[in-house]
Amino acid sequence: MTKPSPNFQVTTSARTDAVCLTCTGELDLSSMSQLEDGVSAAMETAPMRLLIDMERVTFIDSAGVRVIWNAAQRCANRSITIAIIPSEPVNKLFKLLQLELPTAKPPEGAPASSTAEPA
Amino acid sequence: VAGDHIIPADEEARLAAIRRYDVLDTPPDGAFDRITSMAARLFGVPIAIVSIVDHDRIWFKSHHGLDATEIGRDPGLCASAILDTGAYVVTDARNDPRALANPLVAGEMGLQFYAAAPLTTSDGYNLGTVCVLDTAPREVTDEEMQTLRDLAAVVVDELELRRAAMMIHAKEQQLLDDSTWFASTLQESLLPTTLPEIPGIELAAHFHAADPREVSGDFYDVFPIRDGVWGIALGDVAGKGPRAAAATSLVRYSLRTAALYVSSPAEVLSVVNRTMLASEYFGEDREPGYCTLVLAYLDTTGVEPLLTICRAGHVRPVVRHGDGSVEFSLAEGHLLGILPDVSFRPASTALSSDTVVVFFTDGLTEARYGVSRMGDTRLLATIARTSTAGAAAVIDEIHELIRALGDGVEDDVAVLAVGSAR
Repeated sequence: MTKPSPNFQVTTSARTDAVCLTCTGELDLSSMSQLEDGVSAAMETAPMRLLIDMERVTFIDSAGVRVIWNAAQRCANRSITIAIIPSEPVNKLFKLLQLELPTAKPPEGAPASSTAEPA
Repeated sequence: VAGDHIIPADEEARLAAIRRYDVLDTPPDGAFDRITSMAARLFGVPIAIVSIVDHDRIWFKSHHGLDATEIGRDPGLCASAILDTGAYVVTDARNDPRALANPLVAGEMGLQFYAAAPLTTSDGYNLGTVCVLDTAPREVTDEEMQTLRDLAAVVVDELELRRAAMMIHAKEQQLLDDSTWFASTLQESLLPTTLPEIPGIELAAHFHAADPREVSGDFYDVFPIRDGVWGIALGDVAGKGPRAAAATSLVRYSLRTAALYVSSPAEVLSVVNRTMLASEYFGEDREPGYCTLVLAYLDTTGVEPLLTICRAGHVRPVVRHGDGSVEFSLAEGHLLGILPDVSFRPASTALSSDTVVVFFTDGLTEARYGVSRMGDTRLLATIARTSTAGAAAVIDEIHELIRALGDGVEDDVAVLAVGSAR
């Protein structure tokens, strides 16, 4: 377990059917576990909706993308609606990766496909 | 000066035992100094010593109330005290035939009282003593001698503790050396040792490891596809360590293989994406999870070399034109290893004279620059400054930039430049 990064904070607020994780600072390899923990804790309350407010995330790298993507997959598997409010750096990176940010709609189906057709 | 009568029968093994603690001639140390000061206080004497009996001297690890750091191995005191496992007491040295010839007794110091408990190791070697000394004669009680033996045991425990710490430290250092060697060897296997010679083309690359003990997922490769056509790949597998290295290897060789069977770089990337999703390294909740890369086809069969860039979610390559202007490649495309369906829109650039295309990983743009990050703008400015320099000179400039950024470069950086030969 890594110690919390001083450059990143996650605060959780819950309502009857929704959990909101508000992230502030730099989301990278050193801070990803904080958001992962936040997501796991939120999942345990089985909310209908999970909102990750990343408007105040000033930096994100590939580790951060993985956390968000995994959170989206886990939500999809449990029929939890997930939505991300991105900041400019978050938007920019997802655009670079051409990866769609989960918005108000839940992402449909898991992408994993082990039955690749031959080339 | 050492007579045969003060040399224990196990002397060779005893000296070897002393060496394993690596204590001789080490600097003063609070733990041992506390023991001697406590011994002096408990006995109400001016002097207390933790001594180690070396082959030709008696060296003091701690000396309370005495300036000397070592004395000769003369009979009568410590040298004699280690001959026995029990306590050694001289209550009135001037009238004790065992001690009266010792320089500390006969000399200026005029020592009269000496009591010692040997420092006996668990395997039975007497390394030295804990001793208390006075310039007046004195008697000792059994209780006091038990205290001295207990203090001797504390000293031996302390020596054992230090030895264990030294051994752990040495083992850690060895593991560190091993892992650094392992990581750099593995890293080398993921990067080409030399770039191929391509007629009419200048190629240069640089790899910067943020931590030499860790294997990075950054890689680049240049490989032949068919006559006059070459593949140039540069990418970044998420994460670090052995799994990232294994996944990097998978990506690198899938690229090379797919390029032999399908014709366009976009098709190659689609095949590689399927290969990745079918592997244990990519896909939902798997480590390292995904990969971004740029695959460019360099066609040298035309009048001018043509570079077709296919970008899979990777940071955009920079094109520096002959007039010194710079721009990001417009190629678009999905990252690899997450989505079942990926698509790409390649962009082509003619490598006319003085055009250089620079591929790099995000460790460069994400490097800390003061309170902010290097970012796109500063990188573009650095590359623009190279004006009409060739690929190798551009790499030199970026290498220099990485050096200047120093600790700001927190992640690995792979950078590769391609241009026409001068």
